[in-house]
Amino acid sequence: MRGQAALLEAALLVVATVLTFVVAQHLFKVQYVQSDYALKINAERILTHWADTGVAYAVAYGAAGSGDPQYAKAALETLLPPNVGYNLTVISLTRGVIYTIARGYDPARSDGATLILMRGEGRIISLRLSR
Amino acid sequence: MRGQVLIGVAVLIFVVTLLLLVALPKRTIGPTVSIENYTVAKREVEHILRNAAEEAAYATANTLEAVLKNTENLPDTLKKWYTQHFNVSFTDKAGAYAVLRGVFCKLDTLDVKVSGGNGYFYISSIYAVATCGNGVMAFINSAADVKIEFKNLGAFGGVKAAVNLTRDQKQIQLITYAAALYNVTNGKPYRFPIMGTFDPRESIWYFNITGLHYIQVAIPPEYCMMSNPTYYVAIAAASVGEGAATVVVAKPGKKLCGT
Repeated sequence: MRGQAALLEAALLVVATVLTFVVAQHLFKVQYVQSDYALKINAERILTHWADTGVAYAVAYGAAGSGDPQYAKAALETLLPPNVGYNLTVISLTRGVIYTIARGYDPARSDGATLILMRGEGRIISLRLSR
Repeated sequence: MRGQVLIGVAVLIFVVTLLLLVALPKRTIGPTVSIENYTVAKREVEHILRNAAEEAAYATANTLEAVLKNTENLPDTLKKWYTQHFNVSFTDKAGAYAVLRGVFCKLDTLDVKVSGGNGYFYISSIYAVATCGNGVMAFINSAADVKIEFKNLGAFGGVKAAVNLTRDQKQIQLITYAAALYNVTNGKPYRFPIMGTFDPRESIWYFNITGLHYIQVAIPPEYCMMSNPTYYVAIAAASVGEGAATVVVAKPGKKLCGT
């Protein structure tokens, strides 16, 4: 009789534990994503700095409205060490991709950020960095 | 007895978990970059306001014909017209932004002031606040100081505008500007382009390290010879992505050329 009660207790404990885990899985969504947050943060900080200093407008629009890839390259390479690859793409909201510049970029090991500027027809600056 | 306690504990754990499931919203556990995300979002909204302020100045100057049809209380009309263009520009940009980011932003406050001098008036301050569905709040606070001088240049007349644009008390060094003349005859204004076009893409770029910009406009003889001028000179000046802008409307009170 005592043995059966102990078995019942153990079974109930197992059921309660399993149910707790199942319910907890529903309660919290744990994200297992493959990304490099340090690179994402760096990209976001570069874009924020560009927005604050007006560099973003030179990069996205330039003097003639079609962006300035040379300026963008110089601005990026003064901030990033040579071992960090990058891919910078400027997209017009009406005309599509305006230009892309890259250096040692590995998409498989990359992360990045985007900045939207709404001057004129609008631009998206997408900056992705890789190790 | 021991078994009952254990069963009680197990049931309690289960019930508490169930209650949590009902009471708490689902949340994500994992690394986030919320501060940087917020900073980028804030900058984006701030720049929407800045761009709206600049483009509204050009749009206002570009549609001054409608304002000059009725020349009574022009400073108030200029303010209303600019406010309207700012609203339209912001709504347009916020709509495109909502499509891209899935975040709706609205203009909460827009306060525009107009100042003036002898024979001219201009937009002297812009304060705007926007709030968004993701909790981002952004604002712009810019000012303009303008002094106009009317000059007799012999064969031509001259209007010299000393324009000083500031954002958060900081002088703007790079501006774009354009100017036109509007002659009003029998209540109908006609535009005569002078410098650039009232479009940020086709305006004139002007960098001055001091932040003080002299915009000098020549008035053609057919207008400057008028002893009782019926024309207005309009100048739009704006920063590039700084949110500072002004529209100046000047009307000379006398003949500006010849003897």
